[in-house]
Amino acid sequence: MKRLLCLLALVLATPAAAQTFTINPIGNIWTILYPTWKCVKADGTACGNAEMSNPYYKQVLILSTGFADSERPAFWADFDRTVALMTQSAGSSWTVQRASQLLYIGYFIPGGPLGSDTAVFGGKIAPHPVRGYATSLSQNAVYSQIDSIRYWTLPYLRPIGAAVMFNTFQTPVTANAAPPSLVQKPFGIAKYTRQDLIERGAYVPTHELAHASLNFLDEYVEQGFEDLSMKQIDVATPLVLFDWTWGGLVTAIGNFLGVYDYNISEILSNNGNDNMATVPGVTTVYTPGWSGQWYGYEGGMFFGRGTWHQAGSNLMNGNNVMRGWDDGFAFAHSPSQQQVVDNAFDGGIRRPNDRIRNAGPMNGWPLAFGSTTHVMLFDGDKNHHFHPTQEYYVQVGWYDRQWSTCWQWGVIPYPCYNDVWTTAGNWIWPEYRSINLPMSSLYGLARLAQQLVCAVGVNEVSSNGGTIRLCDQNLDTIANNFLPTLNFPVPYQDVGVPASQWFTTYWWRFATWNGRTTSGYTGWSSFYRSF
Amino acid sequence: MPIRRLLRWTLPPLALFALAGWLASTPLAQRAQPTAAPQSAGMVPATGPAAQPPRAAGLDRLSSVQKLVAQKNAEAGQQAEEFVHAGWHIDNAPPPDPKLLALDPSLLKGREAELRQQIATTTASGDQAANLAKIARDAQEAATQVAAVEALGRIRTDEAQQELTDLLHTLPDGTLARREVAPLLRPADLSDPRAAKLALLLDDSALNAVEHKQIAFTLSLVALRDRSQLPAAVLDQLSPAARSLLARTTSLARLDRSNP
Repeated sequence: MKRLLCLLALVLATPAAAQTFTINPIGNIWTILYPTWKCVKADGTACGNAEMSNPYYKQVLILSTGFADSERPAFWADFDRTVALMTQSAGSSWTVQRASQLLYIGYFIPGGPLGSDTAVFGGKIAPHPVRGYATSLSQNAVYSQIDSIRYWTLPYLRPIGAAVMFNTFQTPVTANAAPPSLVQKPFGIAKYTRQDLIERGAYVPTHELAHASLNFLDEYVEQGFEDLSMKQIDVATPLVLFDWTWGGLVTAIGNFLGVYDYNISEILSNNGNDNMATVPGVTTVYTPGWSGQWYGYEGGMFFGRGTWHQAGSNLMNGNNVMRGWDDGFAFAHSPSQQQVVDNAFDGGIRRPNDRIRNAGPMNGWPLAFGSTTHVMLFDGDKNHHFHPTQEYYVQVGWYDRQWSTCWQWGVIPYPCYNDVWTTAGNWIWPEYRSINLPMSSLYGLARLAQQLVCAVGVNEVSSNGGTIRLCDQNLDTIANNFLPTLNFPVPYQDVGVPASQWFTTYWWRFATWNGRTTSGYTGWSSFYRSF
Repeated sequence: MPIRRLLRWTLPPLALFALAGWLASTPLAQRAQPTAAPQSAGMVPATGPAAQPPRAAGLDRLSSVQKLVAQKNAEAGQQAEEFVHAGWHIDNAPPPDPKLLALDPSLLKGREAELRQQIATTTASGDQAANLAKIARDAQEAATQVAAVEALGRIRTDEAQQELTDLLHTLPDGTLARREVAPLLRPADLSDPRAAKLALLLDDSALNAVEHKQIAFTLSLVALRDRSQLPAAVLDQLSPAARSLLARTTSLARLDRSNP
């Protein structure tokens, strides 16, 4: 009886911070003493369904890999440490600014050690194409697990970002995360190690979860690439293939280079990630009542040139290449990043979707055939995580002939005409579009492509009906024909224009609607309908 | 000769003459101007005097002209109908400014912001490359210069590439626009004559070290992409320093960290 009472006391005396816990009916001491999951606010106080179901709060989920059941204490200790670091030691980063709105939910899953067959999510420390070693797991497995947790245990689980803590003190190991827009998920997955918390404090979880939650890209520059431009990668653009998401005609024309203006550099670094663009004049159209943004510092997404970010030392930047005194690392945010943070936590769209361009056919394109011509829109905010474009307003103009009877010398009637400018407009919904880039066609560029794709956080690709972890692969050991095909969502939208008048020049332009504001129009472009 | 007889003998040939003239100026003959500047909007007659009440025209002739006019108007209205049928609606936007469409550098005086927006939001054609180059040189604002250089980079023609190469020698070193030029120089492949021109730039003292490296990196990327190399005749013209630079950038593109 005494022993039973002692046991009961222990059960009731579990850490006060835990809102709830699961008792393993088999009687594992670890599951008795330590929870499977818990929810805490930044100040360490417990949270539960009331907070989790309240959209005012934003959830960060932290999972485990490489921990045995007996290592629950270690996981929870480092979970608490993660929360404390992000809340108290991250300067004025988003996790400190919005500490009162964040809910940290930890969920422990026991499994084998990293690299073993039973490691949770297949977690391991894998050789990295460039940086030695990096964290690796099956992202699909993580998303499946989260769905399962939501279904069985936490119905109000809706994280803005998820992280997986790797049970290792190996160093150096590169942490990484996938921005949600590039993997087309509602949130991204960050990965970090227990050693990261010791060596780098708040930096790794705060930075990686900024990728996963706020969709930011890196603004720092990879060593060795300081003088090289992201736009030089566009030599590989001719290898891009339009996939099934486009109509057949667009696919046929689009694969014929020179008609539409699309670029790998834009697909990787001007594709909804807000803090990065491929031009400094990131606001391309004037919208009345709104001031534009200027990304005056060059560098980011691996390269020192060809990508641009806003001035203001911040969490996503580094000190390797500094274009100015305020172009380095800080636990802070640039103004454009701050806009995204405010949008994410308070709602409310803070700018027009004004990063747009007519992307083809090239001006004056003379070879438009058939009753429908497809024009291409570039929209850097099409895949924006917080305010994706909701509609495009496309305008097409042409000169209609208005005939009348004229009089030669006052007596002889003859038909004559006036050119009358006519325009038609239409609201178009954006649709998902993506492209394929077969690595087998890249030949000697395959390793660089692998590195870039891994740097941007795309770790898994489909291959032969399955999924492979691209960043774990030594491409030199894979036969060329078996290299996977990369697939990316793109910031382009095709629109069919019913231009049916033969031998007629048409002009077109467009604007965006993002749910709050209609942007200004692009300039007029033209194409010539032959027959 | 009685007036009636006079009219009978002169009017038909005159009418025939007029009809022949109209046929010679039909749209079918005049449509080969796809980039013609738009004409003014509104009911301004394109040719001929203002309409006057019929005095001496035959009713048959007038009737046939009116039928033709009605037929043409019905055809002309079809385009708008097809847009409406496809779910579009007719709206009322003003016509484009021909000078903006042409990327006329004279707009730098007083309308630079509009010109910059036109450049940044459209994809220029090859025949606009010269204008873009002039704008890159003469614009007051760095943003406009950069936009013009970027726009040149998007035109995949030899003319545009030549304009970019020229800008390397005319834009001041260290300016934002100048920094953008070299990475946009790109041959179709290494057998392209442009590739040879680019390779020779590696020894051009007018370019700075970063530009040399960027050009070498582009050539390396193309070589790796195509599993090719520059023709031997071109390589022979390069200095040892240029060849060494090519080797280093190739190593970098391969991510061969053992040989930086």
